Amino acid sequence: MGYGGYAGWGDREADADFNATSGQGKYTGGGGGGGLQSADQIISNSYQKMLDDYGTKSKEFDTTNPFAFDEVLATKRTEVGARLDPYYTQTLNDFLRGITTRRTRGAQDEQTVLAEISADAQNYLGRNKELLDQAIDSSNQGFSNANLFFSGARMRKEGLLAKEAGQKGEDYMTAAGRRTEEVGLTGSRLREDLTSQEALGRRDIEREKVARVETEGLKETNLAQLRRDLEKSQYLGSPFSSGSLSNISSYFSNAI
Amino acid sequence: MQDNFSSLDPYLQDYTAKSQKAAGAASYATTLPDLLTKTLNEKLSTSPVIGERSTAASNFLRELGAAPASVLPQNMGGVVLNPNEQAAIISGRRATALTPLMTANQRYDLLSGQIPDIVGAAGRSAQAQATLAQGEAGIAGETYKTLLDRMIQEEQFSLERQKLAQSGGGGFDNSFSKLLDAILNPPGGGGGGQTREPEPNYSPVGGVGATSPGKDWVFNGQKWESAWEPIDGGDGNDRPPLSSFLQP
Repeated sequence: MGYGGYAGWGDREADADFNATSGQGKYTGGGGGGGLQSADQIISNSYQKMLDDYGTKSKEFDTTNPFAFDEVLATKRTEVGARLDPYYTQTLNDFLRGITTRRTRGAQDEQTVLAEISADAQNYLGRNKELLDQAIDSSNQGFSNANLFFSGARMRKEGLLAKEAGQKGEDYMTAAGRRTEEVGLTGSRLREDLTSQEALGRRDIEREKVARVETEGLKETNLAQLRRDLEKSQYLGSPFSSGSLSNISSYFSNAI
Repeated sequence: MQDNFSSLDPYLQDYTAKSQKAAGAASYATTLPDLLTKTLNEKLSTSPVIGERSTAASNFLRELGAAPASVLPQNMGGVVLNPNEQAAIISGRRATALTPLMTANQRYDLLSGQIPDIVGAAGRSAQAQATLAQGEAGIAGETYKTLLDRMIQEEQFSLERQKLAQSGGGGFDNSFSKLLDAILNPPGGGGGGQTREPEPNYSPVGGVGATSPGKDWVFNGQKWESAWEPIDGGDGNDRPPLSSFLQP
């Protein structure tokens, strides 16, 4: 008695609600006795009933259709990631292919140049020796004609020619060695640059992918949230959500 | 005495009928908006626009979920789209599905938006009719009360006059006594009640507008017409003209 908030309720509904809520929000005081309610009591009770109905239906929907933002975001992140993965995989593969090609070509070019330097050195040294032999022969012939073949002058001349040829060979080899070092240094730097570019490229592509997946994941999560709110509005029905379909356009027009 | 007051019965009946009519009109004006709103909303709920809107909403919600899959390579002939291209296509598909819903909503809003206008106009009309009926009832009530007050006063004067006559006093005359005489002895009447004089069977000398001796009939040039006023209902329960009570 005294639970005027149940005025107008069916017995079953009132019993069920009382058992569930212990009559919270329904007690209006007084000892019952069937006295007339004042207008403000009737309005207050009706409003309270409406609020209780809203709470009950809202709870029903939330229980049946739970919405945990983080969980939905994780799901959407996975979905968006799967959708964008082909693009980023393709982009990364294209980038790495470019790096690999440059690295391979760089190594090939280096080997080619080193081989050419080596061959050129071999040729030069061979030709230098031939020229030395010819110069010594010519010198010996001259000393022989002058009966000075066994003289110290001839030997001195031969020594000078050999020293000069040896000096030219050393000079050439020094230059070839410098070129070889230069080619090796260029190749080494190219490889270092490519390694750095690869790392930066991987990082940038991965960063863009993560940002894009996160952005679109949030957008899809927001849409899922809006959709759920719409479905909840429809479930609650009038008078809690009148015109829910009328608002659907403005709900989504800025989110899609 | 009872017969004298019964002559006001037609006015009392008129007052009662108009009061009831005014009460009914006021009640109708109060409940009409709610009834009309409920009825029109029920009508609207069966309108084809509701189905169109539901279909458009279902299509949009389906497209909302299906659009992302449409840009996958397997659904684009093997072409891998970049994220901007994917986003543009997804948004485009969703916006395309939203358009029918927006137009259906506009049609619905147009129809549902008319309901308050209709209810408002009908409510104002009913309120005006209620006000008019209340005004008519008020006038009828005032007329009845005025006549009743005068009759009561005349009764009192008559009693005073009889006392004076019995005590040998002089005559007593004023307009109320004439009114009382008119009520007690109505023109052509048969004593205490208000009875209409028989319709004359001659042509009046005065021509159009001439009245019968009791002024209950008026000649319109071709025939006699009753000068009595009809009371609401048209059941023949007419009353004498108010002027017949005030004639000199």
